[in-house]
Amino acid sequence: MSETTVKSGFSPASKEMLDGESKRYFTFFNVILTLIVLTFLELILIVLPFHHIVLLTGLIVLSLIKFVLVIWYFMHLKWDQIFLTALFILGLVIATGTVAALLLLFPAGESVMDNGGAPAVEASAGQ
Amino acid sequence: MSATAPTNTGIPNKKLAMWAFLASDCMFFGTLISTHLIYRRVNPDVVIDGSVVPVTNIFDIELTSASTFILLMSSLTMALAVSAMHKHNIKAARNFLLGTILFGSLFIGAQVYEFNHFVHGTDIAPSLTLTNTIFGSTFYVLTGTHGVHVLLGLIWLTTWYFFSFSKKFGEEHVMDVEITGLYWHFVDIVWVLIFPLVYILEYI
Repeated sequence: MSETTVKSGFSPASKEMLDGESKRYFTFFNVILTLIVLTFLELILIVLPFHHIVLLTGLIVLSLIKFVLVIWYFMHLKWDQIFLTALFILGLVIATGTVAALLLLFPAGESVMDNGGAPAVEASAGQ
Repeated sequence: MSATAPTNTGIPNKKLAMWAFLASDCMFFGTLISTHLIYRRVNPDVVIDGSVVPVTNIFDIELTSASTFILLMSSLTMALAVSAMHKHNIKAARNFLLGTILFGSLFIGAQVYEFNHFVHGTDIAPSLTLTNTIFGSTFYVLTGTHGVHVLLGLIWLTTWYFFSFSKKFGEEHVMDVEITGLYWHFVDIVWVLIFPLVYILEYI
């Protein structure tokens, strides 16, 4: 006998809720499989012989897809009120703007720290 | 009767507050990630004990990749725990909560192991501490802050796990577990960004 019917403080869930959650159950497995594949692709990028700009773009795109998959499905934004999506996107926009502004304020090579003529240690093989 | 009080927005206040908090936490992690990236760009050489050390010698990408998969799996078990709570299947929810706690503990354990190795150094990489390089400072602050978030999530989840055995645990707590789930998934998406931008980026 399911604990659903014996746990005090809980009434049986409605049929609509049970049906909805049963559909989501398989969606969650599809999402996690996609996330795992995308993470493997990120790791494969390390060994691909492309220009680093291409690899960086690929890395960012893969990360963004993973990010959206988690917030859309696992965090239920797909099924929740649009207001919550708007609220979170507002935070994301401000955060992204902050990151972009900071990166533009401090361009590469502007104030490279003097390493005191320190010799470089060779990267180990296989890393 | 609904387990949560009606609101003007139609969204439970606790849920709205959590989403507002997560939106603000995006800005917090945004500044930490950009600080790390800026210092990596401005000071590309990591100098430890007078030698330039390749960051790839310090990192252990195999361990970090395994940690990433573990955290992703914890997100799945958390989503399933919330789903089971919606179905009022408390036994299943409890088991999925326990799974999430185990995966989260594994992630924290791997991070402690990783930090321990970085601080004590290896044959190919000298000691990396919070204070001996700018890279160490920004790296530990960023990943450490994320680790603290994971730890807080673990404490929160463990509290729900044990409380679920209590007679006081009722339908009004379905939303509370869902909110804990939102926090946990957020911790996961932050790592989804940290892993490529802090770790993989060093290899390309």
